[in-house]
Amino acid sequence: VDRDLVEAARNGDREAYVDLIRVRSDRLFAIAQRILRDIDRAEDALQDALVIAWRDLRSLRDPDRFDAWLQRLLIHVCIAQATRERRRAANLRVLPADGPAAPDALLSIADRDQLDRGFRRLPPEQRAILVLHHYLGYEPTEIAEILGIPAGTARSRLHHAHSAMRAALEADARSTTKEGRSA
Amino acid sequence: MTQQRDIDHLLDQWFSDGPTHTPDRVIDVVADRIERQPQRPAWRFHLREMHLNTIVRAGAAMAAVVIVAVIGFNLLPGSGVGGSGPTASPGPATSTGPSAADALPVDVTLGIYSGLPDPTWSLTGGQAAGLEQLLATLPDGTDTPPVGGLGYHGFTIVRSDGTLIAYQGVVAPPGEGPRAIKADPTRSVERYLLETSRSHVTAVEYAEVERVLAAP
Repeated sequence: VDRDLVEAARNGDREAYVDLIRVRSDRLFAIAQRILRDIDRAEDALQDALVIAWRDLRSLRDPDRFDAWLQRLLIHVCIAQATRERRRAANLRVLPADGPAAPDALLSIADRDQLDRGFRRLPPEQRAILVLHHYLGYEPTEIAEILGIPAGTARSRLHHAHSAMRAALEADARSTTKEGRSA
Repeated sequence: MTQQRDIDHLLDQWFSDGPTHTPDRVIDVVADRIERQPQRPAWRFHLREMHLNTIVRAGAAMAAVVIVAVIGFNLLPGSGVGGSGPTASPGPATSTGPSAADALPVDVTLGIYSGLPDPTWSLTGGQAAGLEQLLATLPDGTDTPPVGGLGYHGFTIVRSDGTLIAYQGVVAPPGEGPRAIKADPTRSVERYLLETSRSHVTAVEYAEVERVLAAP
């Protein structure tokens, strides 16, 4: 952590803050995009999180915790945004994922599509947990610290997220099969 | 698919794909927004963290109940008060507008995004009645309604008898050509609608509109 930059930003130095976030933005954006599955919404969530972080920076007591604090804030903004979106678009058709579909030897387009549909069915909290675990490589104890929940709860939520994802994928596979039969 | 492969591996693989570079505009927008965003003083956070004793908690809970009761009473049909509206809201004694019970559904959209769905909500009966009263007090205007750009660009009010846009002190139907334009130099309609948005928009969205409305 750039302790001096964090201290300067806490004292109102906007340039220091922009320097701080510039080097962190790629990682934060990637997290937001993976939770929200939409580039525009990820940009929006990241902007909101970074503005809130600036506004509330003086609540951060330990500058060394800046990265964890910022990441936690972003995840909460993403969860809030995804929750709003789910309420707002409950009756809308699921759209395909944004972002480049890089060629992948292991995952086919159909696999990706199926994963995307299944993921979008999950509650936002479960999406965040899966991203923290599978994309960032955090263990449940670390996830618990980031989300401010007990470790047991993090473990339980991760387990439920896996189960829900598996169920969503299986339900999707069943409906695809049914459509194929009736066609 | 899940029967053949381990879900863990699938998710690892899937998440490893996707964009990893932030568009430059994100940082530019943030830099611009924090120019207008003051930092909250540290004492506000420390105050929030202070331990409240039981008596203070009980007092705060009672105060909250009283506040909710007062607000609820004011929103009752026939109370004549337009919800938690702005100070410019006309009082019931002088009102010739419809009562809350007469108010028809009114949907409001906060125009703040260009590429995302804007927040939309429905006014309660009391809020809709308060809005009608407020609109009834506005004088006719002559200014051409402004057109919004990026960021906050007005509230759209959808009523049974048509649509209005409240923006930059002008309230008018959308479109061009002759139409009934109302002047609202104190932006009372926008302030009123912002008040009704509290539970429908994020803190950041609210603060952004509040900031714009506070600007001279």
